[in-house]
Amino acid sequence: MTDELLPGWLREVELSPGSQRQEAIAAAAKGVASKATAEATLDMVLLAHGVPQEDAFSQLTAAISAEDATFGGRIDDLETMIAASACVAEIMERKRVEPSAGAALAVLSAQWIGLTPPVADLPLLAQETLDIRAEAQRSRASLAVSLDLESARSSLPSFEAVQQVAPDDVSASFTVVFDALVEVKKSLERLGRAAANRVEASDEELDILWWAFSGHSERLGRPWGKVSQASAAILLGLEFVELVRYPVAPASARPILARLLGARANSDGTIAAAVKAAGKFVLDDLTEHRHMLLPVLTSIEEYRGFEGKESWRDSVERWAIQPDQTTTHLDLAEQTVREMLLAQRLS
Amino acid sequence: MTAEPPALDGAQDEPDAGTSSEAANDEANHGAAGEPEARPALWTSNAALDWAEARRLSSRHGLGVVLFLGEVGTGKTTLLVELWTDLLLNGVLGDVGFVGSASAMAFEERSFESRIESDQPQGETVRTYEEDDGFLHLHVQSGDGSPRQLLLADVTGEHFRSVREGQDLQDELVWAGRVDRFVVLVDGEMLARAEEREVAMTRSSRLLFALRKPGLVAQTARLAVAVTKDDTRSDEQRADARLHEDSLHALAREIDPTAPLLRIAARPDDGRQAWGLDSLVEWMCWPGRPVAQRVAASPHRPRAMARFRL
Repeated sequence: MTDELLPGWLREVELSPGSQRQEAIAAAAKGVASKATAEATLDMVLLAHGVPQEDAFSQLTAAISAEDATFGGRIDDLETMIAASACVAEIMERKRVEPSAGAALAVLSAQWIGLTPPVADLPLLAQETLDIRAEAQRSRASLAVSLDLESARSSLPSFEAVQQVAPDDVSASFTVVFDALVEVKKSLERLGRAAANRVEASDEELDILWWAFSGHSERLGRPWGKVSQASAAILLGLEFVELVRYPVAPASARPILARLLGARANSDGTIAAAVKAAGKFVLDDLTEHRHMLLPVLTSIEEYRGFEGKESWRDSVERWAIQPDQTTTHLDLAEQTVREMLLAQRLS
Repeated sequence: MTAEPPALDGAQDEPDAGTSSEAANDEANHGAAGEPEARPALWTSNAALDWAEARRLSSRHGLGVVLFLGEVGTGKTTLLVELWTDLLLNGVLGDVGFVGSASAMAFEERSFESRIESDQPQGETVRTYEEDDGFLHLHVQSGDGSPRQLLLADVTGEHFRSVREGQDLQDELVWAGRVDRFVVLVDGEMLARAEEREVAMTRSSRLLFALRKPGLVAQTARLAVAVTKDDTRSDEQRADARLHEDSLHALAREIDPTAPLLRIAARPDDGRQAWGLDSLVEWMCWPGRPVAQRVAASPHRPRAMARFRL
């Protein structure tokens, strides 16, 4: 997908479509993606959105220069941002869920805080990645076992011929039997994993549905309708994510949160108001990480660290977080879920 | 999605009644009230940009590439010169503001014979030869306040004669697929004369046919037809040429449905104020043609919970 989209992304900076530079960026993006760590991915996402990140820029420059020695871009060049976007897109395409999901969550987090990438496709790709991952992880895979032992059986001597079998042939027969048992073991293990995943997905589904159906906050011990508007969004997000058993939230997270928020879903609030209202109900550390792409969690942890004093607002500005950022309560709840999952990737 | 800019359907401001060239020169030097007027400073002293320099600029900000297509004498370089002069002297052309240029000296070199210091008050623009092919850079601010970096190709008309004779445009200009704004020039002076009208039409229509090659004009690129030397035509001659202009316009709209028809007098012989340049530069600053937005691919969702919606 990235290979198909890259020429269009590079059009505004590339004067020779299909040039060596384009190939270099494509190759560099794959190389960076293959070695991506959770922390480095966050930095690359920020670089793609025009927020200078020295380490990510150095990594990107080295990767491109290895393919095209003429590359000499600056950290805030449009071409740099596009190349970083290509890296992020490649990370999202990786088969392994860990860097892929983290990259997608980070892109949507960047969008939430108001950053706009020059590559307009990036948020769409991120949402697609999460949708696909959410379903793939919870898929109801077939539990049928398919095992062919006929070839093993046919290579064994018949009962009547056993006594005429030479010692070397007996050893070979044992090997055939052993190999067949190994295949049986592998099949049972695959079956076991598929069954375990089905049960895990079902358990998650049941937990979420019963929690949502109850309409009650387990943390506060009261109906969500009786939880203050200011605190409901964050607390809903925190309780929801405790029930998620996979690196990516279910696709129906947003409508479930919206149903529990009710009429408050589309009303506006600020991060600061929500943090002050919900912070006192957060008794455990949510994360040790502080990051521009974790504005809600960072704000809560700083609020708790300063014991509710207003200094927390100045503190979070170290990460360019705006406590007075306005958001709908539904978006805030969804962002809380997103950040918790992202923070788990970092840990 | 960006709203479609207002159509430019060829409606032009009526040319001024006309002032003497001497008075026009005096006004350019001293301002309308005859007071001395400071000229804006040149930004850089670089010559025309070569490919590597242009690439460096595009890496920084992204660039819109503009190509005027027309054979020798249709007025390509004159258009570039007069756009530059107007922007430099007035700071604004239409609703487009001038910010700077990385090739100011190249603009000046091309326009020096048309300066008031020249012995020829009407001025002539030096013909471009292939060895002088290059790019001229303009940094402007469009009407909505957004900055635009433009790379104006100044290439010899010989390229387009070759295209008329059957050569592929991308073989002549390898970067043609990268152009964001194609402006097909029609020589208005030739169009005005009955005996030369068909020649002008053939030359311009062949260029338009060449642009129909699949994949050459990008989905986001725009195309315009510009009738140059409009000051050499009388109203009657304009009326006579209308059907021909309309057919070229229709041909252009097959490639770009938003293509406008512009009538331009970049340097009127009789010293009248130029017209059409503001429409041209405003059009150059339009955003690219919108393309259909990708819709997020939605995976198959066999589980009812995954299909849950409010």
